[in-house]
Amino acid sequence: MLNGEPVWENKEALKHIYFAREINAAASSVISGFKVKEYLKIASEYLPNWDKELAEELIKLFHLDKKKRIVKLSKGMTSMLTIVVALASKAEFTFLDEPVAGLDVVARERFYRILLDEFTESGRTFVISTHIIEEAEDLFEEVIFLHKGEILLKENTQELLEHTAYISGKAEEVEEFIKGKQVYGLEKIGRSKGGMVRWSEGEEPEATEDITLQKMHLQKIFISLCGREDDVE
Amino acid sequence: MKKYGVLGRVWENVVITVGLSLTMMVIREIKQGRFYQGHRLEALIEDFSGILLLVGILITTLQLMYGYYAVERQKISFGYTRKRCFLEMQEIKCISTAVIFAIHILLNLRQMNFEYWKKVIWIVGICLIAQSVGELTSVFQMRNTWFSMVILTIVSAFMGFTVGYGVISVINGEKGEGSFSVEIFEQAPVFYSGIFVVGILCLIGISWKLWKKAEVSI
Repeated sequence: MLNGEPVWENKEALKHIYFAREINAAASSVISGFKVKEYLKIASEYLPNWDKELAEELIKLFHLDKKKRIVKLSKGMTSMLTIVVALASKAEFTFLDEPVAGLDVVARERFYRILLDEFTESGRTFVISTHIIEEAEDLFEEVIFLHKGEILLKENTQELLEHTAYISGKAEEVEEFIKGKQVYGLEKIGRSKGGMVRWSEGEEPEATEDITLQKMHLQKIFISLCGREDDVE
Repeated sequence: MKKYGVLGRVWENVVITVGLSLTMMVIREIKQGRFYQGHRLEALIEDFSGILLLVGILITTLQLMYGYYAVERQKISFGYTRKRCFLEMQEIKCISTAVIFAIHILLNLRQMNFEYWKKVIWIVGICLIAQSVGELTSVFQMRNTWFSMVILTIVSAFMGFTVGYGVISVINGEKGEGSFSVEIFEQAPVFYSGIFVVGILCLIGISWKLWKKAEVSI
């Protein structure tokens, strides 16, 4: 739904949305025979807010050869092409499905920088799915964790990081500490126990001599939530 | 003019049809030794206009199938609605057919009589039926990818039969040519007209039904 209207086959709603999925460059795919410039030509004709200058700039930045056929592109290059079209589409709501798949770390950093610049300049909404959570942590305003098709968590990223920690220490001390709190992935390691603990605004716990509280990265939070969802107390 | 828009694709259809027809006509004339004998212009035009119709049916059908297979999916992934894609494909069908037949008619202005017009109308009907069958095949194949193997088998069998028929015919001392006459439809014109119209509408209706909920994968 967009502004209360269903999106399916809705010409007006679709003008504001672009869904960038991974381009299948296999020889059997429908677009494998297209050249990069032909693919961009179709995009420019049918995406109503197409920014040609931005597309050209990104093509140069990513060193994409416009005369090359899509079937000849590497995985990283097809990801770059997806990114170029997604950013140049200037759609108000842009969905990027695994945009960094196949990109090396330098290209990924470049992408995150460009994305942030574009977000700051245009105020567009980007919805990104990624498995490289740790890298993208600084990018997201809001994070949604999906597990088995269900929304496990939907929260402001900073708040989530500030109100979550990994607790470890002597088993009895940890048990006492976690009473009444949300705990995930509690494990016994010898005489110690460790797990992820969450608290609400204003309830920030303090570490003691026998208990350590460590800040967690988004990826660890996701693993704790998904891996041990049965352990919620 | 958008390259992948209605006018762009009609232009492409017409240019390919005319170019291919000219090439085939020249090859045919050279092969039959008539080109060097100063074959009359009227005869050349007649040959060309005949080939134009057959090639037009083939090219417009194949371009339609290619369009559904490659271009329309891209347009949907870029936010085009399925309804708009389908309507544009119908426009491309009709306008391409109209332009190709208009060229044929212009080349045969001297033959304007009732018999001629009847033949043209029947061939337009065959053209639209062929395009609609191609369209349905393409849309069906999108949802059932195994169907592409069936099409491949049928097309290969047809090509094999055609070549085999020609070879046997030549071996038996004949020319190895086939012909098809539209006069068969004159035996029951109303009945065949009805079949054409109902057939085209049914094919388009079934194609739309399959297309409107098609899941697009690229």
